[in-house]
Amino acid sequence: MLLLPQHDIDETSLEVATLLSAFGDRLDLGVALGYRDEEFDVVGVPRPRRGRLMDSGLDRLLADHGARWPVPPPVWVGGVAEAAVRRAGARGLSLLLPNSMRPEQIVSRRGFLHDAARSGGQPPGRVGMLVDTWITAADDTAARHAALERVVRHHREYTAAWFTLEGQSGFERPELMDKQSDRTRSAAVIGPADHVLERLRQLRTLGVDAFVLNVRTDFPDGAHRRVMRELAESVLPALRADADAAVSAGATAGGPS
Amino acid sequence: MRVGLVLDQLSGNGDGGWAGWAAIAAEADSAGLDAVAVRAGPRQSALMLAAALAGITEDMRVVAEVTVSDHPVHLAERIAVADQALRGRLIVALDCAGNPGRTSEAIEVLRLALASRPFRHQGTHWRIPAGLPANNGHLGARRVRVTPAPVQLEVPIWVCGRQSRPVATALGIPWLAGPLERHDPGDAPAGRLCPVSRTMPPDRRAIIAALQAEAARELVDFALLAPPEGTSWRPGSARQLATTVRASLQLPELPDGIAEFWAGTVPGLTR
Repeated sequence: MLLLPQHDIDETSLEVATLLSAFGDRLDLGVALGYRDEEFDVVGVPRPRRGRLMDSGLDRLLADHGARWPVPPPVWVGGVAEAAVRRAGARGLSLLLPNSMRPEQIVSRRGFLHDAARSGGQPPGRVGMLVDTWITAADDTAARHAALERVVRHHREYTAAWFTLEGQSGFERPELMDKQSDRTRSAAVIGPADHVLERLRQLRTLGVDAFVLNVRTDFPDGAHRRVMRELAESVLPALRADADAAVSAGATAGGPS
Repeated sequence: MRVGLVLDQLSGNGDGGWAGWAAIAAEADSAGLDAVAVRAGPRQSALMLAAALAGITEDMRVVAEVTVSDHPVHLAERIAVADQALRGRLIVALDCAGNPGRTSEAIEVLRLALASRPFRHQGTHWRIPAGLPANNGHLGARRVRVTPAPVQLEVPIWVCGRQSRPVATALGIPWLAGPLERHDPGDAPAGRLCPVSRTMPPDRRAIIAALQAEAARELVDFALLAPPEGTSWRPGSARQLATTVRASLQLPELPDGIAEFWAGTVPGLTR
């Protein structure tokens, strides 16, 4: 992942070419706009131009495919705003949504992506999403609550510290931060393994077909390793089986539905 | 003297090319050579490949050749990340082709940015932070800091290529002499490293004699060896060099009979 508008496109293209020649099709490239004034100012890029720089940067990178890249990697564009989603869609690129989306927002963003792809004459890209994930023991509501509040607290601190909300620090606008925390809380997928699987399946019915699970590493005593193992053993095989079934059903029907 | 290999350019697509290329570096590391050097190229970022070697090497230094192609703060970020991946084993060799003033200013910015304390810079080519009103830069941060910091307290920065010698002298940093270049006594004040890159002649005894002669005049202490013209390193090359060349350059003279012993015991080696 990189904040493309801040970067030199020739250098980025060289790095992509290097990774492709070393590791082939294991590379997925992620790009996003960036949002901190200070980061733009370090490298002398005016932040208000970030959208135009993303447009021209993506176009130059994609035009480089034929010249320098053996096989173009999947490109994921991070964003929520309609303009950002349409920018990805019009180029047939995939969308990577953040972690605090409400179901109706997911549906509308997927609609923007597909609509822009149609207008641009491109097959639509995929819809991916960051998901705050943690697995707790069945019936341990105290552990579930603690894990959820830990995730909420993390995002509250990060957002308040680094985003300007209506011209002020997030710490000065607790009412706005409360709303953000509510969104984080309802979007987080935390609980026993069967609950996690069910929630991810629900997201799939909304059109999300790739998950980037955000599993926190700052829990004590090897808990991170335990959760990762449970995800690998109890959740991912079922999700993959769903996907395989969907693909074969689509093939039977003569194409994906 | 420390001895390392200059790696060939990575060629081919996918894991096949990588596996063979990386195996040479891994062999150099396990054989006890001191470094490998990764060249920049039109299709490869040496810093990225240097970082990728972190997972398959443990001890040796990795020299990455870089050019000042984009903003020096971004170059500093990539250097810091590669040094983090390598747990402090990175050496940067900066190619000085291009405007010497711009190169010198970039090195000044790299030193500030890799020192992990807030800095500002007002130069001919870069103003950091830029202080653009569009970024509220006239109101906001007056200084910047690159995070994460490198593991090393000071990442070694050498210079190489055309016009590098005066830059090294002016800034007091090591000059990596190219295959046809030699250090003079004036290039190497006491305590400053004298690295060289050399192309292996077909007979390894010739490179040993040449480097011993330079070492006798204290004009080399780190030799990076490229394969003979028109050839590539093969499996076994690194182990042969580690056994013969490195040992010959680290001892004042070899014990009688050891060359014959090597010829009989090191795979692929002839006297």
